[in-house]
Amino acid sequence: MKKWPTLAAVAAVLVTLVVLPFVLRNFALLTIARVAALGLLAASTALLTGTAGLPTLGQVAPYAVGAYTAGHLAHAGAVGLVQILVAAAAAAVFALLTGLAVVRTRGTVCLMVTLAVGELTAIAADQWKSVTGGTDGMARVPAVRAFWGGEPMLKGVPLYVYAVGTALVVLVATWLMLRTRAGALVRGCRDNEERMRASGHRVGLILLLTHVWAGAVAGVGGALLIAVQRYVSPADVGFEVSALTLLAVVIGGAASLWGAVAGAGAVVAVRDNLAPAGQAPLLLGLLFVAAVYVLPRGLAGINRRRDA
Amino acid sequence: MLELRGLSRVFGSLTAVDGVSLTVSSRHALIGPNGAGKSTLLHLAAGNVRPSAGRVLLDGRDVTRAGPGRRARLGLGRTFQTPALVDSADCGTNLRLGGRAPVSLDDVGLGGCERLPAGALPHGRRRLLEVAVALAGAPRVLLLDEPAAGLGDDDRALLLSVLRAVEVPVLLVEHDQAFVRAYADTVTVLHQGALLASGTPSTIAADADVAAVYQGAAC
Ligand SMILES: Nc1ncnc2c1ncn2[C@@H]1O[C@H](COP(=O)(O)OP(=O)(O)O)[C@@H](O)[C@H]1O
Ligand SMILES: [Mg+2]
Repeated sequence: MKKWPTLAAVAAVLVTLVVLPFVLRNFALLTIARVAALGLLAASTALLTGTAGLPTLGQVAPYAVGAYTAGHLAHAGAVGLVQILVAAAAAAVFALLTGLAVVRTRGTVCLMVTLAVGELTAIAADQWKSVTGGTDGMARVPAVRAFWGGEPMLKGVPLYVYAVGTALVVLVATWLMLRTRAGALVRGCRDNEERMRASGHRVGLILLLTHVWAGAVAGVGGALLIAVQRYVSPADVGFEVSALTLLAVVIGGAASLWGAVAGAGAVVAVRDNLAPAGQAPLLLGLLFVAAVYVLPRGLAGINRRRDA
Repeated sequence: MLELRGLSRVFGSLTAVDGVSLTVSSRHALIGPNGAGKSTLLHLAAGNVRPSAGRVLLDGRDVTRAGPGRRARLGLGRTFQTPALVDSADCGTNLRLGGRAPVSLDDVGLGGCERLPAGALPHGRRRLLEVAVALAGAPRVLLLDEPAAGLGDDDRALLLSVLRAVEVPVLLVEHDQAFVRAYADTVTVLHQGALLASGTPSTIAADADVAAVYQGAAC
């Protein structure tokens, strides 16, 4: 990647993010806040699928854990910061437990195991009424205060700042971590497990820790979802969301966190705005095919292509 | 020191390694025609393949039940016949992932390749990089599977000088007789999975059985 075009692109995105609350209406800002939640889900999927080489259909599971955890905390009167931290911790513990099975698998088997984890979680969200509210979902979630003494966030501007700001912090932290030796270890496990083992690295442990981190990222996404829509139901954490997320990752380029977030934005834009009533699945399907053929490395590949 | 005791490995109806006992304590070459079981023996020693019978001792410790990662942490370094590298990472990162021993890319003639992805290296250079990666792990015993295959004369000479500077026991699989004679002080010949002969390079070169095997295999 060339340095100056990248820096310019980063600056342009940041400026745009700062300007948007001044120019967009309430509804558009809420949509972007929702994209931030879904973007974290997509980024966690990209982290596992692209960077760690563990293709996953199951990140909706820690996302659900984060959402329901934050929902309960909101009912109990916890501020947003606490909701986010506890949701991340709960999702991390969940990912630790499921990861014990997931990191033993690769390729198609990994897809199937994670699909099962995701589906079982959606079923649990549906059946475990005392905790999740069942099919009706968890409703009447009180408006979230970001910090102690803050105002309850009801409108687009504060929710936009809260969701986009939190997502940026999580994404930058993850991106920075991937630039250290830890990132080299994770990519090493993806590229050549045999080499990593022959050099004495604990491949299973490295992948498990990555799975836990990805779970926490998805969990924060779930907490943002609760804050933004003040409601969560099994439909928010079901297979359709998994499929949309994977589509976002394919569009964005599997190995890129930022691409995945951009992909999530594209998917939501198509689904909510561009598609005529009832045509969203068709349009998203076409988008998928186009993404695979036109951008084999996703949106993140555009920059690299230009360099090549 | 690496001791292999009565190692066997059966794949279906094929006995790839057949009751091999071997002690690696110096510059040890392992030769034999294609399919003799050399790579499988290295896999058994490094823990990549489980033995059907036999034991592996590393510095006197029984590691037969340990996996490849644990054996590596106990000091077993290795390269693979098809070089195993982190292709997306640059050569410098590959070297650092190998370990902290003071080995440089310069040492294996890859001085300018610090920022080059390992996946972009031609095949021979990949072998040299993998040797450096294995050395960076500061191994107590080193296993090398055909490190000189496909190298030009200059790279071969470079590899030879790198290997001569290695102070720990090495088990080296190599086809080239000249390279073996120049490097090894002990040679073991494997044939159809079994140990055929073992001795100094000159006694092996004069061995009639060995000559017969190599002629039969047209190697
Ligand atoms: N994983 C495996 N499954 C079945 N057969 C194998 C396997 N690995 C090696 N073999 C067989 O074992 C024999 C020895 O192979 P190998 O150790 O690679 O020989 P060499 O390295 O001496 O050329 C060959 O006949 C090979 O086909
Ligand atoms: Mg071989």
